Amino acid sequence: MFKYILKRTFQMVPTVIGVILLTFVLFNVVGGDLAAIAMGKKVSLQSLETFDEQRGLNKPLFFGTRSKSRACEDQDFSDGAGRWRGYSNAVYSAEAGTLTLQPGAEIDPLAFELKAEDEFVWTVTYKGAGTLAGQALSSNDWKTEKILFQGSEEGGFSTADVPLEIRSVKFRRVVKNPFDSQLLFYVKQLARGDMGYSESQRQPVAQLLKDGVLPSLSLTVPIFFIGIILSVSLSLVCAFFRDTFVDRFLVTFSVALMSINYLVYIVAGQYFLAYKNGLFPVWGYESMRYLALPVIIGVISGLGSNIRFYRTIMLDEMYKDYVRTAFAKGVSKPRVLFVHVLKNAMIPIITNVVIAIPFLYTGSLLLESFFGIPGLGYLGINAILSSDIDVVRALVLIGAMLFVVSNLLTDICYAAADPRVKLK
Amino acid sequence: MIDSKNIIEVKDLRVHFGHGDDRVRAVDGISFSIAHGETLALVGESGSGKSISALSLTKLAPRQATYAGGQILFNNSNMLKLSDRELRKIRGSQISYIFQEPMVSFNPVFTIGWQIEEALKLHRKDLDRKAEIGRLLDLVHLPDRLAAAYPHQMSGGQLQRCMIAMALACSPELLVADEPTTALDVTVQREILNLLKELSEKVGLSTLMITHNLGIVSDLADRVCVMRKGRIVEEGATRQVLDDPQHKYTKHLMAAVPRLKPSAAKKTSPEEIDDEMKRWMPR
Amino acid sequence: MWGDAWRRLRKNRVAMLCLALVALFTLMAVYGELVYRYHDFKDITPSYQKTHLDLAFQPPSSKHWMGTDGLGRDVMSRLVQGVTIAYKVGIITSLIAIPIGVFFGCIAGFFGGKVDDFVVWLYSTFASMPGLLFILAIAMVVGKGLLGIYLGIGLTTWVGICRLVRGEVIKHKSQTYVQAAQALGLGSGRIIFKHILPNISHVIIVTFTLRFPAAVGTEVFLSFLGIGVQDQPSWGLMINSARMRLWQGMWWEMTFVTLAVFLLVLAFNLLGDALRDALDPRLND
Repeated sequence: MFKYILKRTFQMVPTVIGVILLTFVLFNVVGGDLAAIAMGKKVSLQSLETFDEQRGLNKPLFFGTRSKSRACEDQDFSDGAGRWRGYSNAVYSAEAGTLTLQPGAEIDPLAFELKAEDEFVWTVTYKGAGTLAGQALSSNDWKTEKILFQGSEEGGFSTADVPLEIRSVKFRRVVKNPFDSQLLFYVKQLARGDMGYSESQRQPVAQLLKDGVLPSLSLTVPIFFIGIILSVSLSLVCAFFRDTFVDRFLVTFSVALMSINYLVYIVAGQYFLAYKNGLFPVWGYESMRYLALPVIIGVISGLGSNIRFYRTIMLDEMYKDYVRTAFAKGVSKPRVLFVHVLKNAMIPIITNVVIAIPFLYTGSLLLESFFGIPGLGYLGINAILSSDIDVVRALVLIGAMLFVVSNLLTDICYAAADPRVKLK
Repeated sequence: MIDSKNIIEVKDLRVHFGHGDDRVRAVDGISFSIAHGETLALVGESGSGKSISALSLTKLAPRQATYAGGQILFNNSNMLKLSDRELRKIRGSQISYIFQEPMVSFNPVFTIGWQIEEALKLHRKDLDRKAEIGRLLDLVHLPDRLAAAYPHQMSGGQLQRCMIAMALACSPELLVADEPTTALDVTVQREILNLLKELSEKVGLSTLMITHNLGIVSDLADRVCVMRKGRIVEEGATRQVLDDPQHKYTKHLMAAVPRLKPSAAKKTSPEEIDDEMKRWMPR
Repeated sequence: MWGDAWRRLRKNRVAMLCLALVALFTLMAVYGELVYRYHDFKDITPSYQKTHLDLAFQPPSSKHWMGTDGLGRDVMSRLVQGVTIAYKVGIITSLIAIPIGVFFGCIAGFFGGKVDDFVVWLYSTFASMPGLLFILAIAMVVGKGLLGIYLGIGLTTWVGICRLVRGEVIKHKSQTYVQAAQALGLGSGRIIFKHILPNISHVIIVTFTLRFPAAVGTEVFLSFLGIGVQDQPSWGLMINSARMRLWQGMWWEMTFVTLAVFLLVLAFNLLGDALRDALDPRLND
């Protein structure tokens, strides 16, 4: 058994790597400018740079020796002048697609002071003469040149008595270690157990997660257990009375339950049971009484699909040949159902149950936000609405990791419940 | 009333599937009886209704089946009229079954011992069950350590032996063997048949043997009923039916038995092949 | 197969009722889209967007069959627009999820080995992601609006289809017709798409019918939370605005919208079940 667990744990590794990669791809690659998503566009470039710095977003994605810096955006003057329009001693010509620095100009396009220990590089396509970051540019023809300089030095353009025409500029930070990428930063951060920092709540994400677990569990654990007990017993009722009125009623009932939107349960429950009839408190998290209604709603909303699922499993088993053998021995119907069929059906049921464990942790997004239960679901919804990237990423990641672990647990339960599974 | 020399009498049994015009008459008015200690073979191709007939003896036919008519007399009562509770008392204790596919006929999550014990628990309460299981396994020539084994750990032949042990657990009066060797390897088939033969002699069982294999019939059966499309088309002592088949269908069955010397088999004329084709084509 | 299935389906009265309901909803969706396109083309504000504050909160009447909402807009015409949105979500997410799922499922099932390992790894990674939260995260990253919804739902639900198709393909691969095709030297692509795929198309159709309502339900959630549809009358937005009104006694918007969601989802669910029963006779007993 121990060997089996070890082997299955080992097989988990690719999925864990996959999950880390997928969250990375979603947020860092697809997400694009996370700082802008999180902080909006109206903040200073300096604070965006700080945001990037904290989260390693100023590094190359996977691998590379250069990375962009917010101090100066790339500009190809054939597409427009962008921020460069604002300099009084520079003339922009849209037809020629060039920016001409007048003689005697001093332009520092860097938005904020660079870090002194970093090295930077300009790539500039120019004609004429002048200096960039203290180094002389001079050419009568169009020429592209790379200019390296230290962050402590002056990084801007200047011209003496001849104009300098520029076609395009690129500004990059030199990455000393090409493997020092966003991916590495992310993996290192995870390895440290650092979940990041919530911008909207001004707290470390780990703290928020810790605070949210208990309220979430107090809601989801009862839903989980009551749900399992109810749906398994009702599906047994279906199997026992299959093809009779009782079975048909329960099946129709579960399809109807499934078809009602979750929102409707919440809104109707809150309105009729809590507001109109005052059976339950409407909102809040103060005592057990506050949990009753969300738990009821949670159970009912999952009941339909679970009954149907378990019923299918039971009926599948009822058609197996061993059931006929049992009947031929003179075993009574309840005993066939509760002993022979149920023990076989337990195997898929366990799978279905264990796989729902991550839900216990991540909580119920909607129930928590509607009933004001300060759990992880509430946290998640608020984080999404306020674009709090680190919180969302942490929740997604933890949910996924828990799922992977539950999968392992399922397999172990499976091996324990089913003698046919070979423990090798 | 039942003839005292017979253990079971089936009279004009009709079992249907479905209702109205769509209904299938799986068993369409068959009658037969089995005497004490006798082995009766029910022969026919698949779909001829022989398995359903066998299951109907204790009302085990699939639940879509309706018992449309007839009588099954066993111990002076009509099985079709008995309550579920009364039927349960008979199943496994007075009439027991051996099924076709031993590999799937055992519950995969219980040990063989547990499953044999269940039958004992239901019908014979005052008993040292552990010793009895050992005795039963010994009866079918299996070591009693196999009682702790799960079905997936055993071969088909071993499982079929266990099935026989389980069927014999409560010393039934009638054993119904539904194609007991079809799913097994040829060499294992022989062992199982020998075992059945040995047991029926030793225990003095009455047996209803369902099969499509005429070899088994000539080996084990005292009498034969040939079934086709839910009806019995020919009935008689084994030797008589096999040596001198009267009904055309029985002759066909006989002709279909592979022989080692093909030249000895009767040649089929082209007309007969046409006739055959018509018979098998869907109407 | 299809003829038989249709005959079986015709006998099922509930299924035919659902089919009629689905047809009705489809007509409403097409009508809603036409109205939307017409106003978009003429560049005028459609009536369901115009606010008439003097007509706010009117209960159902002969003029407004389903009453008006808080801004005096006719609930019924907004409801029809909601059908359009729901259909768009159901169809477009299917167009994203089904091809991905079918493609990966086919190649994994057919080629096995390394390809299979890769696909299984890919879908188990996606399957590990916590459902709604992952959809929300995708929608957040892509940006609010319908595109986020399409991508969020589409990119998360291909997993189930992939798993199903992979299983079916593995089953079919060992069947004689596939082996015969291989013996004839047909290319793998041809065998997969010309021979196997038509034989498992019923699985895809049933999946489509059953994932449609799920996608609609998710859209209602997302729009409700304010992440989905922004300025068109989506059911989620309508429920959100009606929720507060409900407490003031304006029951009609809430009732009709939830009824519409319920009917659409129920019709598709029951139809999907009936289709599965009709197309997969093994399950009929």
